[in-house]
Amino acid sequence: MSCEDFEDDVVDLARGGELGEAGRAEALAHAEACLRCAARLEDERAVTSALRALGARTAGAEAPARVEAALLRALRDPGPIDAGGVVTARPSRAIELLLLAAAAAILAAIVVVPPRADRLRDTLPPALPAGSPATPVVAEEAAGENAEFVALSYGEDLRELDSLQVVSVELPRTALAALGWPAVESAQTGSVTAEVIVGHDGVARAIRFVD
Amino acid sequence: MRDGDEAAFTALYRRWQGPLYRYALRVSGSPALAEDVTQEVFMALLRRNEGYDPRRGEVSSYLHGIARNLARRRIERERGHLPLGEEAGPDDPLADLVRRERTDLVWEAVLGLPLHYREVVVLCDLQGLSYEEAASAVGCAVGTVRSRLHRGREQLGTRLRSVRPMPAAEAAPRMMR
Repeated sequence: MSCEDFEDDVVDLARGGELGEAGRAEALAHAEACLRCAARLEDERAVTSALRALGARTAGAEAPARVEAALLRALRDPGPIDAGGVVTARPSRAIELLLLAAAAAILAAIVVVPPRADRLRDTLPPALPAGSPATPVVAEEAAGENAEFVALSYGEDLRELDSLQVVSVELPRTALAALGWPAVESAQTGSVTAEVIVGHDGVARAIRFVD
Repeated sequence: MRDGDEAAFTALYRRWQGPLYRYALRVSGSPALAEDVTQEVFMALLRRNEGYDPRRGEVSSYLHGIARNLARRRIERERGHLPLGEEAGPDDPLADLVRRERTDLVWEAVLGLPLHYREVVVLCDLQGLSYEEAASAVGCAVGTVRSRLHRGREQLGTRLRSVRPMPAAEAAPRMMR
């Protein structure tokens, strides 16, 4: 075996698979006789070892139970799927981050309305049980001044929060569409106005589109 | 499944959610992205009429292929904004801390690979797919998978050596199947 042939096999040799017994024996024999290829094999084995450690660290990772619950809800109520729409059992977390970033970026548009907090509680969605998704939103339900807020968090009764703030934000429709928000069609242009309920810790709890 | 066979869907989900979640987590470093991708893979299964065709490859390749496409789309869109994940760990905090310190470096090195190398390294070395399965998931030739794995691992070794001495090599049987 040449060093060039060894280079072709060294990854398989270090990973312990995809190389037959005969090929493995031949490659190991070459490594014993060639210092450079022996060092190369040690490097590849070290990479394998490092990847195994990473694999072990993440071996038990699984999707949270709320994902299964959301999918079963979608399975039981497949209507929007047949209609070709996007059924989003819960908004992407990216939406929440986007909303917070947008709120920070357009401070001038922020309207803090502490006195409305009590009145707001009447319009807030009830707590979502842990593991359950937010209610799917369709455009007609999501927009307008009478639209109800849609919860963004789980297992928390928004009506029990001590401090609430309403933040008015403007976001480009395309940005929302790109992030998969079902209330916004990708063909639409311009911006959309939304109200976000933010807790005292600065975390967005609920949203409704007013435009 | 589109007929609403909940038991079959649940069985399929419970068999594959773990591997698909781990794929997305390992390739992105983001638990939030992994959660979204896992959900979207199964939503895609509900939407698709044609379903899985066994003549076109293993089910692992089929599902990893969907997860790969969804994860790739998100990673490219959120490039630079994905923090390294804090996935659930074991109960021993000290052992967990040491292990995390060591594997954080490896994970960061993996996440630093170009995406087309990273995908193959994760599929073959972390997910345990064969070259043929990985090729089917990625939609390329087996030779391309071998080449990308070779170069990806080469870059990974270089990155790890530049950070610190790599852990002592040990006999490395094939990773998780």
